[in-house]
Amino acid sequence: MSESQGGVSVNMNAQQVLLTGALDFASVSQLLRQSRDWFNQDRVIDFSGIHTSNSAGLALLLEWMKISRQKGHQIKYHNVPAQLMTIAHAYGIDDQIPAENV
Amino acid sequence: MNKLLIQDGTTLRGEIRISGAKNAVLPIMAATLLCDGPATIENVPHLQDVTTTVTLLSSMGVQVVIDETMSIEVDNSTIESQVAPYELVKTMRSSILVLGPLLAHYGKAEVSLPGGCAIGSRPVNLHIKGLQDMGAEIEVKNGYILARAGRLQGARIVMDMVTVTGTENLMMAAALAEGTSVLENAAREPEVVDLADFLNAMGAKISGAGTDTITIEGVERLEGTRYRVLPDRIETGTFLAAAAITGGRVKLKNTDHTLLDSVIQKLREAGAEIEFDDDNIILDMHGQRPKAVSVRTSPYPAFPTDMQAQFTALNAVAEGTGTIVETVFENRFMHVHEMQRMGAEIEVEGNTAIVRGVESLTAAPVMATDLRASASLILAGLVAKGETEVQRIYHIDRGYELIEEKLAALGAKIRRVPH
Repeated sequence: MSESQGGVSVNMNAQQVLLTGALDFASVSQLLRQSRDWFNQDRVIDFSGIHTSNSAGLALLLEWMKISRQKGHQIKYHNVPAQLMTIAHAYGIDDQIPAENV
Repeated sequence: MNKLLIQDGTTLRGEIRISGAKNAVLPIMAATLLCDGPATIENVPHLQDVTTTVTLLSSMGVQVVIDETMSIEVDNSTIESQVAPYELVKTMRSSILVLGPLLAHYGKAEVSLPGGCAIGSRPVNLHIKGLQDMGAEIEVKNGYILARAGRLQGARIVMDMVTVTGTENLMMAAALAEGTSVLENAAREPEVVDLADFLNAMGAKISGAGTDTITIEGVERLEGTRYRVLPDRIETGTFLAAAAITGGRVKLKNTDHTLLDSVIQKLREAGAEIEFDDDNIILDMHGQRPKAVSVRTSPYPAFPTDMQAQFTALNAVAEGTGTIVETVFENRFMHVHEMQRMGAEIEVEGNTAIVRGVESLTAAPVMATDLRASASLILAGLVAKGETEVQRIYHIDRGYELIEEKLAALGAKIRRVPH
């Protein structure tokens, strides 16, 4: 399934969600609203296609982690942009992000 | 709550990069409330006070994003409220800086009074009076400053005392006022100049910043811009003092020696060899013990009060006796008691500390009471025999970016541990 949420395109299969585009203030609000049903199961979010991001994107990652936890499921992030991890590191929370490069 | 453990025995050597100035970036972030369109601020230090300001702006509905270089982009077009609540203002007095911009751009502001401060009385009545002189109706009620205005009107404002945040608040308000304002007995600090430069980059017409008379010709609107904040002169001075106290040699990059002439002069008196090279400052003590110096704090360009505690630490182990006269804040010697726990010989009489240098201090658990006091205790810990434990280091996180990483890069044995 493929759809566009503002500046981000979403490609979804059984377990994985592939995001493409810019993860910023303009796109995250819409993406958050549309993503709430994603976390009724364990989920992998792949950021390979994200070319731009900032603290708004980091806030979204944290919110997704919270939602998954509340629903009792696991979330993993693949190929988180270095930009986001840099900001996470600046705020001392990089080790809390379930990120791996694949 | 974390604490810092500092081992003695290191002569600081190496190079570090100085961060953007905290006391410049905070008013500039407040000034982004004045413009139409997004504004981007570069060279932003990663500090608790910056995070608090981001939180404050966000609480009003302002859109704030941070990128991987820690540049901050602010877009106030989404603003929903002009309230600075007590819960935030009580943690950071400089939150008062949103008062002028909110009133000037939106015609109203509701800002909590800051309350008391550990280092002395810092009233905001001059901010209020100045805005009233520009036509604002202001009431103080239930701990809040409630301000309303149509378009502010230019006015000649003579400030009873030199106040940096007062100058900044009134300068920001006047930028959008109708007519010309003149601020007399204005603060001359470089951070005031940086704010004026930022406002001018947005289309303001401000002249005289850096002198005691600032003229602001009000404009109809300001436009967002991209701006790089100046280097932090107090961080620069602190690391220079750290190198001097340990007899070391350091190169501080991305800074500006012209911002701290008075500090450099005193360090040279203490025996430091100091050279400049583009944006770098190189200090070399050649392994020597510093000589005691006497300082008197006063508004810029005189010796800054924000460096007083650090020079108290320097004098504590220097050769000879030095006096430290504090004329700006009436209770800024709280670090003295903690240094005395480490064996420092200091007598305080009124606003003067007489410091007799000792051969060495001894490590002790000590407690930070404010930002610059915490820095001075770290400096003392670098040379106190044994392992010094500095508690309540949340103070230092308000004003120093990655201090233990930077000191470690210069060879210090310092680490942060949970308390």
